Amino acid sequence: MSDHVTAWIAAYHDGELSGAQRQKVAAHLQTCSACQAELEALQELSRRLQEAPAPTPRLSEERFVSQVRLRMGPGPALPAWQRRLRLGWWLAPAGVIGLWAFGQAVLLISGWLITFLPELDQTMRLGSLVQASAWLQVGEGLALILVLELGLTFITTILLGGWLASWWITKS
Amino acid sequence: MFKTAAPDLDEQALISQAQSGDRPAFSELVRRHRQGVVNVVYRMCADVSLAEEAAQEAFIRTWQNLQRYNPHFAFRSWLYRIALNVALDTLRSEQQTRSLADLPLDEHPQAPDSSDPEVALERKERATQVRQAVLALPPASRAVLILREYEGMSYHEISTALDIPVGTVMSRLNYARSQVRLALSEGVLVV
Repeated sequence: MSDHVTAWIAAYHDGELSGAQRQKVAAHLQTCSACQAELEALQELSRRLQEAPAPTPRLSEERFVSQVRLRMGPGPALPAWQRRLRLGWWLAPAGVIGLWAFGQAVLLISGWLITFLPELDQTMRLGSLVQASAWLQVGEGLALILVLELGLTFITTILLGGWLASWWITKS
Repeated sequence: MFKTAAPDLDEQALISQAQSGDRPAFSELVRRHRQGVVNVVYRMCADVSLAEEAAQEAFIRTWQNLQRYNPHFAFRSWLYRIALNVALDTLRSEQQTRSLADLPLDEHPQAPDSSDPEVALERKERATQVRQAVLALPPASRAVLILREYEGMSYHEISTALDIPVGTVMSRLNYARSQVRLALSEGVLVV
């Protein structure tokens, strides 16, 4: 009796067993009338359940689909975190341009101070940006500012170009 | 030990398109799953009109929550989970506490045809008996039985659809089968 496979007969009937387990149950069923009877009862029940057939739809397929479409509303709602991420994504170019404009303004003011206020003492004239490089002459300071401006513009261009490329890839 | 289902690549493409707001793609998904969803809801609540209405509501909820769908699971399982939830909501809101004995015989929507009226009547009665035996089950066991016997879903798919372990699927299925067998063998409606 301990060899009965009662616990596995339903899974066997439902086609849920695979490999060795299925073979084991199949082999047992060949020799055990009790387990065979249980399997037949399950098969009979499945046949009996099919005697209650599916309903005949009252709405045609097209009418059903069109009624669903009428009630669909706007597109699928995004989860909150995805909405925040999407908003951040669309605001990213504005943020990059804003940072670029701020950097340009700072550099422009620094250049103006270096050029037009030579009478100020070293600290006030150059401000904190160049304080560590106080030994530079005015010309060297302007050259440094120019390099910084170019570098800032280059980095901004790369970031905006990358954003546009990924937008285009996503769109296409 | 138990088999798992492979994803349908064509369907995955439709789902991806629908997730980006493509209505025709979602309409195609509705066409593909309409009959299955209506059947599941109907077998839960035993009313075709109510089932079609609830099935539409299930598809609306699916559309609204499509971004939450995890493509690692079968779409059908996820859809049926929503449909079953809608069916249970409908049952609660409609206060469908009418006795099973109140279900009229001719409410059966698709009894097999027969030229012999006696045979036809007998088939109708047997079908009604089966339907009422299923309806007499607790909703949790009924859902498992419906998904397995009528929708042919695997234990794994049912487990995903109902968000329960496979072991619970097996135990609920065994319980449901034993109850239905008992009801049918007695030939008496369990109300």
